Amino acid sequence: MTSGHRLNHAQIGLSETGVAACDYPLLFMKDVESGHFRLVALFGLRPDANCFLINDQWQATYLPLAVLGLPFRLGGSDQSLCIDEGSDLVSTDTGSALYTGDGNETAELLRIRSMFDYLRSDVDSANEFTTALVDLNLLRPIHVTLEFGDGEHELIEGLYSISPPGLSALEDTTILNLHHQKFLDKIHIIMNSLGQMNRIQQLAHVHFDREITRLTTEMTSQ
Amino acid sequence: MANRVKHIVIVGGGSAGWIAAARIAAKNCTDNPDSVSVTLVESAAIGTIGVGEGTWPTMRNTLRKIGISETEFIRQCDGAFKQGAKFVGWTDGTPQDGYYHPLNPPHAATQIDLSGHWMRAKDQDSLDFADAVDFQAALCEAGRAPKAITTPEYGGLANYAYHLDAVKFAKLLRDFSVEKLGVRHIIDDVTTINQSGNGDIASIETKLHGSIAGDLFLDCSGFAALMIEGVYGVPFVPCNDILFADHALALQVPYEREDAPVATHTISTAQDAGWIWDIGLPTRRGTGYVYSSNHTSHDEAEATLRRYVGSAGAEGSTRRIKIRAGHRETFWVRNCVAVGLSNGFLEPLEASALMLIETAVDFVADRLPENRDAMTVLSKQFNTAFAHHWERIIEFLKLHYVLTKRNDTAFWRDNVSPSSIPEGLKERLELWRYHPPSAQDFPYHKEIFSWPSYQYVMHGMGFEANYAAQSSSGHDEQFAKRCFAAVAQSRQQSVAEMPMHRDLLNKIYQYGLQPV
Repeated sequence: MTSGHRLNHAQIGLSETGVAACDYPLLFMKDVESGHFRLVALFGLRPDANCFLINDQWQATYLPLAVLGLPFRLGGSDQSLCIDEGSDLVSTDTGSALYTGDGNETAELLRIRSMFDYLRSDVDSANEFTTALVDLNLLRPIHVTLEFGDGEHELIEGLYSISPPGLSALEDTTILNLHHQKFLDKIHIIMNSLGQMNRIQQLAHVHFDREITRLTTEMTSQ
Repeated sequence: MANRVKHIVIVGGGSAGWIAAARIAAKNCTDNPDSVSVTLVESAAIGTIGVGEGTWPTMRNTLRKIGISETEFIRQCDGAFKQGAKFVGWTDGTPQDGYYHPLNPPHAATQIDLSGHWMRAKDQDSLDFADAVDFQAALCEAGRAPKAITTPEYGGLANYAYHLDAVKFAKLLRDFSVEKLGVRHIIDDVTTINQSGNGDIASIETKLHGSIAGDLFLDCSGFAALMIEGVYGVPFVPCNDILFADHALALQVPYEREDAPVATHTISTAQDAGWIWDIGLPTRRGTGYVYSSNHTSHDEAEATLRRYVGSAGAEGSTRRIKIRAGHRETFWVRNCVAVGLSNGFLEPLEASALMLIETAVDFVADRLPENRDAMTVLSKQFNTAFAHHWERIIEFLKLHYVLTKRNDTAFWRDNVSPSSIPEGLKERLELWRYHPPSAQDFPYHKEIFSWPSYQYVMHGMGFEANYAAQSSSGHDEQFAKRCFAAVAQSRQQSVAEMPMHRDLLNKIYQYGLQPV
């Protein structure tokens, strides 16, 4: 498993929130193409850095499906199954075949297909959840500040989470609706998962040339 | 209290009327039956002028306060992002003559004035002022947007305003005001205006809806000025002795290709007897020749505009609009406020029309008079502010003309004749030969065009100033160098990272912008 080195986040499905939050901070990031919010598990603080991968070992108990499925991924406007042919997980002489000699899909490819079918619909659910949060005006930017031993600071932008005051201010009926939609527990899981930023700080020393002495997250209120 | 101000009646349904209705209602109307109510009366017979197609960045706040999402605004009004203006041919009329007035202030504007440092550095690296002190002119030149699809609504990497379709804009505001903000909309003709014993306007009579009473009346009736002139006879103060343009000829021009680039700035190109505006919407360009009929004929003006647009606009028909440059002597009389064209009008050289509507409406909506007594004091403040605004805007527009070195036509020669230049401007230009325009020159706290605008135009037009003698500490020199280096970096970075303007507009149609 080497292909996740440069992966600093992965989009997750809604049903993954509970288990993923046991390892990773869950946040929202904007898709570069559409600007739409995506629910993601965060692996690192810099664009190409995965703090959870040390000496080729994931320092976690749960691997999001999107990571497990590499070098496959969902892509294109219809979110169809794609493969990253450039990945070093792809080989033409060893490993599992995707097609049989007569051109049919192997059992392995069918297994991968069904895994990504599940992920596709689970990501759709996550997008519905996210849309509900946007409509309720609950998402806010989170600024992460890293403080290094030498006194330097680095500001990480582009991450969003759920606003606690925004949540508190919702009407009773809205809260009840969120509960019935099975969104309310996810909201609390995601908010609490911010505590996992400490874990990233702990693991990050591998990727930074100096020690991070402090990591703070601040929600900008508007 | 008996004389509480509760019923606001707006006469006229163009941009002025609907911006006023929407802002006042969004700020002051609640579900409470005792709350302020807003009624807008517009005639079905009278059309809107609909050529005000450029805004100031203030429009972002206005829209946000009304509660309209930027995505909806862009989609429904054929909106586009405007990052400033490029003035072509104003200085000497040679082919390379052009400069930018971007909407970003100069870099580190609150800490340092870069004018003198730029002049001293100019010999070595010959950058235009706008390019040396900020990155936005480079974005405009490259056709890059001021933001990306991941930037929140109303936010930007660079400051920006809008280009829009004025007719569609009035319609969006109307629908939003009526459906979301509870504004009462009456389509009818005003027949008479009734005054009460003290001279206040008590009500207006309409053909079909009878009498409509109110406590505060907004005259948004355009050039007709039904109340401010019709009832109160407030004189009009012309300024055509300073700004000569008295006509505009407008022509819409289709793009040659659907994916043609959309300019992200207004292009204002000097002509023999005025100048041509060129405004890019996603759907079409809007162009128009603003000219002085004392310096050219209407036929010549038409030929000039057609020559400018070339074959692309050959099919379209032109529309002539009379410009009566000037403003009222007072703007708020008793319980009647003039907003929009009834208040005053100037050639659209710096897109002041919509911005002045917003300024007037802010004044009324944010401090809606609680009662009749408060109104008297507020009207005094309003009149003082607007007298000042008009004087300074006229001076700022004149600045674009007085710095010209053109003498090829009578229009440009007449424009530098000392008798056409306001005394205040003459005095300040004399000062500015030795000291760059600074905040100290603009003490009014809500100045519309302040020192950055003056610096962009003056340095853009090669105003001959001598700031070399100004003392400058080594510390300042170092700081200025760092500023120029930072600008150079952001110029490169922003041009590389920002999307092309049309690509962003297409994405907004497809995906929308996020509110945060």
